[in-house]
Amino acid sequence: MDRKMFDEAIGEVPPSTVDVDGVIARGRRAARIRRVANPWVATAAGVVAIAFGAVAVLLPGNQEGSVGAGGAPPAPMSTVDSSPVSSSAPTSTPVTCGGRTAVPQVPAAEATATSARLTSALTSSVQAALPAGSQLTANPTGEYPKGTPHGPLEFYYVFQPLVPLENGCQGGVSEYSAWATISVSGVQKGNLMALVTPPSGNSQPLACPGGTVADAQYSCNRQTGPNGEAILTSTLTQNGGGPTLYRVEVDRLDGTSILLDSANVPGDAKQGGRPASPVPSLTHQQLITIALGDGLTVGSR
Amino acid sequence: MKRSDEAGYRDYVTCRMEVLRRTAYLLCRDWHLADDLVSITIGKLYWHWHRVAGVEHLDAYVRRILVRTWLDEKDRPWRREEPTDALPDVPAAPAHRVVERAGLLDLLATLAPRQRAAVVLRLYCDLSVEETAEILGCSAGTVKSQTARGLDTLRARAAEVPD
Repeated sequence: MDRKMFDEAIGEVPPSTVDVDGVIARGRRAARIRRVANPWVATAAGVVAIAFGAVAVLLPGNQEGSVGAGGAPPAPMSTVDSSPVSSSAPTSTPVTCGGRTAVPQVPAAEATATSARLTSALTSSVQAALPAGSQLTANPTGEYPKGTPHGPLEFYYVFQPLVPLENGCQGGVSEYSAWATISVSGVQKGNLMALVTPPSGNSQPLACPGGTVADAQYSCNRQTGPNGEAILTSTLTQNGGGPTLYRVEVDRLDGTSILLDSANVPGDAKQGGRPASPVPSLTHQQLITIALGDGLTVGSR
Repeated sequence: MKRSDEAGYRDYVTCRMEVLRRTAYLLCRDWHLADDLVSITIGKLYWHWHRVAGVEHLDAYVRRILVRTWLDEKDRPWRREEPTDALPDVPAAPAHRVVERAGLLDLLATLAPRQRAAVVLRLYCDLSVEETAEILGCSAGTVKSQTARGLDTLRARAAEVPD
């Protein structure tokens, strides 16, 4: 019994359905999300996504606009990317690059309305999950564009057009993001970051990356939601008593992709620092419940 | 990942795609699942490419991801295969006891997952006992016994197939 015999047994090989370009596109997206939201990978890489006009992360900002658990969601502030990209109409000509198809820019009015709706939905569900006495306050990490603060869990729309380059692609981002610091009885305990991505046709099935993360303990688990949603839960704890981050990623049936991060530091876990509480304020299960909530969707599949 | 690294990744994956798909198919005997396994495998490889691109035994590293991905899939209830006592009908060669195309795959599918992986890695991927042990995360002795039992099972069940 040898290799030739196995090959003969396999017979004719059907055309591959493995989408290498799609895998690369998803890998880029995951790397970008890690740069934005994953503290240690970003630190190792020494970069943030500012170069591509994504979430600004390093500048301190104000802490005004707090809202207590059970209170009303904040009124939306400026929620539309003011980067030098047309904000009045979708991209007219579909662009493809590296197996990805350009995602049209959401018109400004629609982005503003969607941001407000997501803000209301997320704020309500987070307040319901947090213990009494908890407060949500603005997180300076969520300044976007740079210098533009946002209220607690106030979504803002980020768009970067897909640009083919000589040796690859750049951009291709259309998503809603929100941040908040979580306090209990006036003491800052942790944070929450949300990323909601509309269906793009470029997504790949959720899968744990496997392997290890440098200078951190990492674990990941894939599960299926009550309606068949794909769910990844992961935990990242920086070695040496650093922050812990709980992450939940959900691919909803309507095509909406949701990423929720809860860390046990008030500002940005990327900056390290000592944990303000033993564990993040929201558990994986609470994050899953929030992600599967009725209002947290921008899909249309 | 730098563009140059990404080009290297794409070249590697493209070059190894055929053998990865065939290996995955031998493990799971379902082309759709095989392609899923390969997609997950190369997705994980992309994640770690900056760290592993230059390693000497990259192929072994990728095979390990593939096999472990498949073993993980086997542990999921909705993908768990139902064991059966009855072997499917297998056409036999008229003149000599050769396990034909469908027969070999049918017989391979009757092996326990780790036995199947050991047989595929040793006989199809032509790996040494030590390399196979490293991929499966077990001792060389376990690989020897898994492979021997797997081959014994294949021979025994092939002998049960009527001429």
